Amino acid sequence: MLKIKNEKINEEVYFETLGNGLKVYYYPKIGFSKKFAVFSTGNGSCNNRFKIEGNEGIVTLPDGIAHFLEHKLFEDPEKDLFEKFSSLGADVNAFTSFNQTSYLFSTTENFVECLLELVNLVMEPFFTDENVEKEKGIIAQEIQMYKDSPNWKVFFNLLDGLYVSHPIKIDIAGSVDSISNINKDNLYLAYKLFYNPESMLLVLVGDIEFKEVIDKLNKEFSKYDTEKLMGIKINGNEPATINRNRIEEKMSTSIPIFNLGIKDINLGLTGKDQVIKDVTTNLILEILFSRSSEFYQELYTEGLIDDQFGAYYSGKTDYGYSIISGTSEKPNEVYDKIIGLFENPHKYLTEDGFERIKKKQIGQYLMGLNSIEYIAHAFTDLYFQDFLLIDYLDLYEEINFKMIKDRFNEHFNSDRICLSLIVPE
Amino acid sequence: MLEIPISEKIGNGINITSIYTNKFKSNYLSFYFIRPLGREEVTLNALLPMVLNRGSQTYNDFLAIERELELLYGANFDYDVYKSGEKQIIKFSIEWADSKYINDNSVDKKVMEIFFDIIFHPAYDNGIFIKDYVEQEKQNLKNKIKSRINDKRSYAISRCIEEMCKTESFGIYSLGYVEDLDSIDSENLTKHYKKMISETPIEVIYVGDEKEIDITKYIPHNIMNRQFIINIPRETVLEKSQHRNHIEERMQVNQGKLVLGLLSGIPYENELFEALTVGNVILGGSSSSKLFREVREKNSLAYYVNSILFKHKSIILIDSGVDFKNMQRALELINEQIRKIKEADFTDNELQLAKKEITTSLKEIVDSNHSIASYILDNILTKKSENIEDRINKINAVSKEEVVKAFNGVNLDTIYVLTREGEGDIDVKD
Repeated sequence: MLKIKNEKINEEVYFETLGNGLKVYYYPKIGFSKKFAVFSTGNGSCNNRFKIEGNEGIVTLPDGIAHFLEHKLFEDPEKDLFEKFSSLGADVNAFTSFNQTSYLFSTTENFVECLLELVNLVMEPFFTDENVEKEKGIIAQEIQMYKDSPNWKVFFNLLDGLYVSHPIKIDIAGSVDSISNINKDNLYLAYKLFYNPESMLLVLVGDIEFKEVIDKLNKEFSKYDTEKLMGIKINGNEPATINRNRIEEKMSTSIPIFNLGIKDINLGLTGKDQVIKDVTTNLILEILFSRSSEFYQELYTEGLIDDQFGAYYSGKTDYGYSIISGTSEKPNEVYDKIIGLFENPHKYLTEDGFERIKKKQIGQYLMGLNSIEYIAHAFTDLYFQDFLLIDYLDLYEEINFKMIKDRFNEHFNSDRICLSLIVPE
Repeated sequence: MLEIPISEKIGNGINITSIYTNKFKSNYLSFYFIRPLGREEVTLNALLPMVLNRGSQTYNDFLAIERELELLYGANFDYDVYKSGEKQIIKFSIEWADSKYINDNSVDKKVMEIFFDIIFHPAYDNGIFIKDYVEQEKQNLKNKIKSRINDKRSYAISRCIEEMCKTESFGIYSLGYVEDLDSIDSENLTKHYKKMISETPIEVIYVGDEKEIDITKYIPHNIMNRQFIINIPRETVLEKSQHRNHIEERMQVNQGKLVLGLLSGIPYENELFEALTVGNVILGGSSSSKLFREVREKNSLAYYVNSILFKHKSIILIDSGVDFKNMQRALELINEQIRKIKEADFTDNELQLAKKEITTSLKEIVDSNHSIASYILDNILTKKSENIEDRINKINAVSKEEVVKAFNGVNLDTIYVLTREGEGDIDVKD
């Protein structure tokens, strides 16, 4: 068992690799009633094409299969898993993102039993023609629900504008049409590709007896004889250029909603380099577009934006984008102002602003550590980028204003900007 | 388990409750003005914090406010206006990093100063709110009210309540009305603000580890020595539905929304209220509830189907997103599940699962400073001083017979349907 401690914030994590290769991290929160576990694979909706070891040719899976799998792993031949967790006093849930699928529960009691149930849930798929068909109706309603959400639509339209072929442009749940091609055979195939304990992660947060948990987990995992397929993810050749620079759609909304996106082409980074790029870009966006910026103040007092306005960067090794979003009666004017800002940022991108925003983010990171859920999710997300949450604060000390300026010049390029708009019918 | 301390009266109509704990890395202070929910002031109340957040005496515009907050290690100032039963709550809060972790002892004092400066010392021009601020925030509030239609799920829920409680103040939309904005100007808003701070019951709740801060020291003297404080009556609870409402609305949507409003007639003071709470969870409060199992898992009709109990009005709302062609079937299934609870057609296991669900979420309250504050406020609003453990015990003591008895008073009052052009009507029958 390995212990990693950060004295400055008085937090520590423990680490162990199980017999089957699964990495387990324990982040203690002593004195908390709630205990939380997240069991994740680093495969999500973007993992759709594979070259399988020992096989010729490339396997292409139907859009939405990672999410469909997430739903179907809750199927068990003997028991209702939702009920099982409820009876143990736990809430179980799961989610699928672009490059991750996670199964989680929180509980105040019976933690070890719940954890073994979670392992069982993930490790024992049970797909039948009938239960696969039944799920299609439920997921179709989930897809329709998102179709009515203007914020979801404006975001996916933007990704469609920024990306030519990268699977990030595809809706995580797929479409009603694509999920009709899902059956128990391709689900089992996807399962064997996605769920390999050696490349998965289990994060535990709360007041937990870690040693006892490790012993129980080793015993539990020995029950599962896992048949795995080794697949190599095929990345398409996404160009540096964008697909479209403007997308507009009508929906029943009250006011235009905009997402202005910038495609990141500085890709291929991992670990600390990747996280520094992420933090630096988010610092820039905060300096330029948060409520404390002169730019925000100018647009707000002109009535061009309201308090919905904001910006963030999100990225992984093979993609990245900045998004500036909000609602406005005059989104085209907002667009012009932002472009103007990118061409002449000096008034706004100041060292003074940088120091303030840095302080703010340090404080907000500390407040985040109040939340067991935040810790578990942020830990998982950073782990898949090969970085430890507990070292996050130290990164800020390495970031200087020159790095901010360099990253600005590299990323904020008007040739790679797309404007996505949802306008009222 | 958390002992809820008695709130301390620090002045006429103003109380403070402090919970000291070193569990969190931050301090959380919330400040609540409790107003009666009424059409004549709902829009004014919604507008007030938006204008206050524009600038204070010391920090003249929001740029100055935001920059000061950032220097205080990203102290989070926030406001919210919402309804709790027939009360409109104007809430201000601030959360800031504990000085232990940032090595800066001056932060606490500065946080107190800016927080109370924003609430009690607004930026005035000739003794009234700055006109530009008021006009701009009126426009922003107008957009906010109109944007209610953007999220179809919450829109459908709020529309159902609006229709169901048409003649009661609970039917009022908590952010107010676009048509009421026209008559608001800087002068009458300032007048309302002064009246508001002079007569409104105030609750202050602190959760954190700084025993040294004397919060009362930062609250203006005139607030601590007020003469007249308004009395806000308890909400009425309707027992029997007067007439069955059936509302259908059409919009360009991909998914229909079905919302059912039910009256229970059991006020929270009633000994059957815990049984009603448990029954509601058996019905649709978790992923092992009857609605989830029947409507979603067995019949694949919906992705979500829930039932929510509105404590102060003793109303149950069931909401679901359903394909247009399945509305009728979903409605029948939902009615069937309600009937099952009335007819004691649920197992002991279902009863136990529901209790677990409720007691677990009660136990988790102590892990979040925000939840602790809400729990305390809820106690205050319902005039109870109930520890979490007491509430858990009450829930655990609920019997099957009591659930059945409580549910026999539950009556369907309103059916709200959001559908699209070209789809047929649904047939509503008992």
